[in-house]
Amino acid sequence: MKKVQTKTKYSKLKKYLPLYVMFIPGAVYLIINNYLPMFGLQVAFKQYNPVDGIWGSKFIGFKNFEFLVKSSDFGIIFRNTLLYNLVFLFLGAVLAVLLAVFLNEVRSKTHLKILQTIILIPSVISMIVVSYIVYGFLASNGVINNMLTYLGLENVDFYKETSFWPFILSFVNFWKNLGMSSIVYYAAIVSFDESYYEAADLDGASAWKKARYITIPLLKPTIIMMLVIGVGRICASDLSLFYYVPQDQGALFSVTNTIDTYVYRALLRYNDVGMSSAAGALQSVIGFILVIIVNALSKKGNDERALF
Amino acid sequence: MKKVIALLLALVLLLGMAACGNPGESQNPNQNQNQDNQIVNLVFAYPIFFNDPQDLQEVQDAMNAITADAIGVTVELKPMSFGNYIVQSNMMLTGNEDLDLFLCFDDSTFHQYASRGQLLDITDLVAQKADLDAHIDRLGTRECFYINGKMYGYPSGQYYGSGLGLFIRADYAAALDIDTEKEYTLRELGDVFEQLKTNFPNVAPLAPLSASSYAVDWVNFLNCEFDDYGLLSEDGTSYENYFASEQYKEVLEIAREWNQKGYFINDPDTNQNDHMLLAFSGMAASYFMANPVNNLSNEFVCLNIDYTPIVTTSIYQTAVLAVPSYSEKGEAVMKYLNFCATHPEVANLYMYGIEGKHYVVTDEENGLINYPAGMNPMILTYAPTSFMEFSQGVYWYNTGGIEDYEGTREAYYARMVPSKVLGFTFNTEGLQNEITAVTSVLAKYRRSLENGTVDYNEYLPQMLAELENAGYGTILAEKNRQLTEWLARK
Repeated sequence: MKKVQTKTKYSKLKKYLPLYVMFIPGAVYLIINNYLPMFGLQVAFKQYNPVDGIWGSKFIGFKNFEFLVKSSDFGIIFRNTLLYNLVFLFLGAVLAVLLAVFLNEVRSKTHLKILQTIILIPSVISMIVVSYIVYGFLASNGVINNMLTYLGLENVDFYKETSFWPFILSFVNFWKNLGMSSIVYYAAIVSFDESYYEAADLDGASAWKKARYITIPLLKPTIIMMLVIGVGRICASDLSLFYYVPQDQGALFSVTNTIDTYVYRALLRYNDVGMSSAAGALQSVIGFILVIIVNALSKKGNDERALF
Repeated sequence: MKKVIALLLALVLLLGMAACGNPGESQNPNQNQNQDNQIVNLVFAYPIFFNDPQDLQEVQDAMNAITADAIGVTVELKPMSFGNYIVQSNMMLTGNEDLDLFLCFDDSTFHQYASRGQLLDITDLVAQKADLDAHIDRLGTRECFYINGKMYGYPSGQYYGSGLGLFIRADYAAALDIDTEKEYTLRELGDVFEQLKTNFPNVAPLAPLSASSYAVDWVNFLNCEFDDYGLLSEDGTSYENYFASEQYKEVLEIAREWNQKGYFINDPDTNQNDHMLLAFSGMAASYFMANPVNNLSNEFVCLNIDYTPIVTTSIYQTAVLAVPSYSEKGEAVMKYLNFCATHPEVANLYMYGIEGKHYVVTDEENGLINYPAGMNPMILTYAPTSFMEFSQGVYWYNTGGIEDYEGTREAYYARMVPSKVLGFTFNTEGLQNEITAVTSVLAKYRRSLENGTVDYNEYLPQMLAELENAGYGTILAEKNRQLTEWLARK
């Protein structure tokens, strides 16, 4: 009996060997890039001194975390990071799915190609360039203010006025990233069985009905997977979006300061490896816990939807 | 199938080799070369104020041709734009990048690097080189380059002063017939700006120094001794909050007034350009510059400002040459600097480029030079750079038509008054939380306040309240404690 078992085990191994081999490059990459650096995480708990190195530096517990957690701005930066990410995550998912459904409805190949190019172009432009494009629109002699003058309206000092920035930053983020994320959903949609749609056509379903009752339900696992992945980065923010696009303006800090920009600014003068690692570690730990929670929640309804 | 597996395995092996082999491979040839020719190559990073020098390689080759034969040391120059130099050099240092000598810019970074052990202790290395040591003796302020009893930086300059001048483009100044002899008060400078404004309505009268500075930030230095963490009292025995002082309020008043009268460039808060670009492109007419006597040129007329310049520790610590602690070439660096100190031809190449191509000598005897005809630093393929003035007998650049330049300079530096606490360095260790919090409060307010784009009556009290909240008082108390201790030791 035992012999048979080992034999099946062996044959199983043999059967899946190619898959294991295919896994090796990815595993090597992950180990070198994602796991080995984790030894460096201890810097977050040490008073790092380049002479003594990572192992030799003095252990100081959670002291490196204090500058962030004890800061009077912590409430604001934590709120900003969280709220922006929630908007980017959920509204982003809705918009990306809508865009993917829309792309799926485009029948002409040429139109599709043109559309895809237009949607994807922003995601290859550097955020620094984007920040100047935005500046071109919002500066005191920029496009928008010139238009306002032309219409006889009062000019707006965008780089002083906080109320616009949640919308501006969200808009820039979606304009830049929506194309990329919609491609994931579009790829999933393309793989759906055509016969569902043919049956729906026979029943005379409208485009909206098809999207509502066929495409979106079928997309659910993909959407959930993307959300779970996204939740892992809920405490992180795109530094270039929040630092360069508002041109590092102090007047806008209350709505543009996130954990990353705060750490960047605070440590610009006081460059401390331990303190910046502490901030990174905090973001990762919160993200990790949230991924576990959200994954467990998504498991509740249906096991297949969960990421792991 | 087997072929596929074999291919994959080969790929994995390749990847593995690529991952492990690279650093070793890239270092080995260099080391071999060093052993073969006995030539040590140093990487030298420093900030530049103009465009990327296209002729860098040519200048570097010329410098290396001299030093390779003489002392067996060569340099690889790494100029970086001034606007982001502090961040970039910090990244290089923290990332243990290939770097042997760099200009440590900004006094606060110097003592942070030093107290954190990121700089090499050069006390003994400098002591062994007579010419280097002599230069520090001449400056007479050894203590400024010492942190915790050890020397971590070498002075890059020859003269140290805290003067301030307003540089106006010569063509505008000539058109308006501005008096360049008298010493101006700040209020009188306002009149000059007004004159510029009315006569050249499309040009902003005043440009900020760089993207990271504010329109009037130099004005801060007039008549008082301060830094971010305190204003020194008259008798030099204690520090108070600079931002709460009358002096700071006066600076903000002027900034606000000048801004509202339209003396600054458009949108000063979001400016991304350096003063030279703004001035040469005709967007601005003038800028404030420290140490005017060192920065004279024919393109600009310098207006002197009426006040007593004080020389402080931070002035000496603002631009020091330092060696990263991980560099193993400290000895070679000192050998190189020592050579430059007595061989101005190397320093001249580094600072001004190649004679005939990047500058012409106008007065051999007094060592005066000028740009080649029709050239200015914006279009030169090797624009003048700085930070090797410790070399004896380097040419003096472009003296703006002053005949007795040597005399003018001596007279200028004779006016300097040494600070009552010259040599005192504030050690910020253990104050990380307060300093990071204060830094972000200052980042939030100072730019708008000192550009005069917001009303200080409304925002200054807010900033002060937030500073207090961020622990400014703790920093001040610690600084005063250290000062008292330092004074007692003295």
